[in-house]
Amino acid sequence: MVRVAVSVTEEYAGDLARVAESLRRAGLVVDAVLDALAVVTGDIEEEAIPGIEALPEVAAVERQRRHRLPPPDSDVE
Amino acid sequence: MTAQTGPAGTTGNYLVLLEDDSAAEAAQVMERVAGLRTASTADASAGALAAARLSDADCLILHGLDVALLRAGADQVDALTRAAEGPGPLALVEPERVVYAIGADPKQATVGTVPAAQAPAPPDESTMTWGLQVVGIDEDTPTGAGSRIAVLDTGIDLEHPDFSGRRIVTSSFVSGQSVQDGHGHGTHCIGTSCGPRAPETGPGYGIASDAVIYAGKVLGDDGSGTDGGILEGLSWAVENGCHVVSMSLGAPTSPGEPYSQVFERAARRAMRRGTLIVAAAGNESNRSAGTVAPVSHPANCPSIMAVGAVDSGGAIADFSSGTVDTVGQVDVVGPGVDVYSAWPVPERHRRLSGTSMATPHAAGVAALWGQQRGTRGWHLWAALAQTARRLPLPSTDVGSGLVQAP
Repeated sequence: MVRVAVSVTEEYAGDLARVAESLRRAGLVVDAVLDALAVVTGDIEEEAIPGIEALPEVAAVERQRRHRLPPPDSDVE
Repeated sequence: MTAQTGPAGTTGNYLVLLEDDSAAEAAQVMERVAGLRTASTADASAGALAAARLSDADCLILHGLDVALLRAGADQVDALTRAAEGPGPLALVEPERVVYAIGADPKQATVGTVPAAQAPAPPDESTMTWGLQVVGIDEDTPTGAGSRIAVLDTGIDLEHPDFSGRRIVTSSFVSGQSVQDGHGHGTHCIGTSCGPRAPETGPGYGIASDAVIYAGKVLGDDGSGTDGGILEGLSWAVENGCHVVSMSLGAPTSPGEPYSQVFERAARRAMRRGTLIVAAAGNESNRSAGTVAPVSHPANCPSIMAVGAVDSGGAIADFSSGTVDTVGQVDVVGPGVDVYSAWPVPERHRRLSGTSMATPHAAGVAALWGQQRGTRGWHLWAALAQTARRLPLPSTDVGSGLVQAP
């Protein structure tokens, strides 16, 4: 499973709950539904990503990146 | 209006700025105090007619600009200037200047010398950090009352005495962890953007010292986080109507790597809802060794303001990422070397360097401009960029320059 973030198109951004359902049916295990940003996050099998990308509700799907700060005693933060 | 001679560089004619929508009143005043006959471009319906009206009149009101162009004798100019100084439809009187195409002015021999970056002198931080000084904080500077600043980071030390009495709204987006800062970075960044101007001990180090602090934990106590957590924090900040979001975090990028469509689209929505997002440009450069790294994700998104770092001498910090491709650009810079701010108790304060430190300077300054002008979103971005101090450094490194407080 891969963690992804999905940006929803303007057209569908008004009913994110419905979009989340659609994404679930396409294989997304939904983590968060973020109305303010029109973004849905969750986990999905790698092979199911193209299926999600093809949905009319989806503007972009991306694998989530990791962010890491240097340890607290580093010179530069 | 024919050009006459006036003092060097002027035509002998005058420009009068009018108060908004008071052209008719202004025409009456100018006739009454200076005996001027007035025509207006609002009356002219054809070029030839306009020219005829113009040559008859002493004064032409440029209707769309609320500016009057006129010729007048010294007594009349005095009368108009006195009228402008008092209340009424006239705001300002100035001599009309002669203007040349760039390079065409015979007196314009050479461009003035560009001031060199000052040699670093040890800053005097007895009352205020050097960072606050160079962004222009003084006793008259607004303090951000009424602003809501979200700092998405490792949380905040809720026990820290420098934040006692402050309104703090918290939320953790790191599963299994509370907002209490077990790393330190979040506390330091909140200190810079929102901390005190006059703490119990040590120099003042906070910019928007009366802002409401929204501490969102999106990075764990080990300093790590995911896009998902960051997006949740961003959503929370937007839902709460935060004016500014400060993100001193990022993931390194490769030159030419496209920016995140998800973050860019999210940032555009945030901007439309009046939330400006400010993020660290990144610390991956090693300029003394000859490498300049591209702007990190998500600061490389066009709709997110990317902040680079300068030192107290005005030089770009060795680690500060730069604009190396057409994808991510540095937008402004802030103080980012040897920055004194809060740290979890018992240590209380610490000095750190990084674009992580420059970013909350920009965020705090943004909150002050928002308070000052009542602007948000793109207008707030414009205020920051417009008022930034231009630096004699490549815009690829510093964007519009060093952010300046109102």
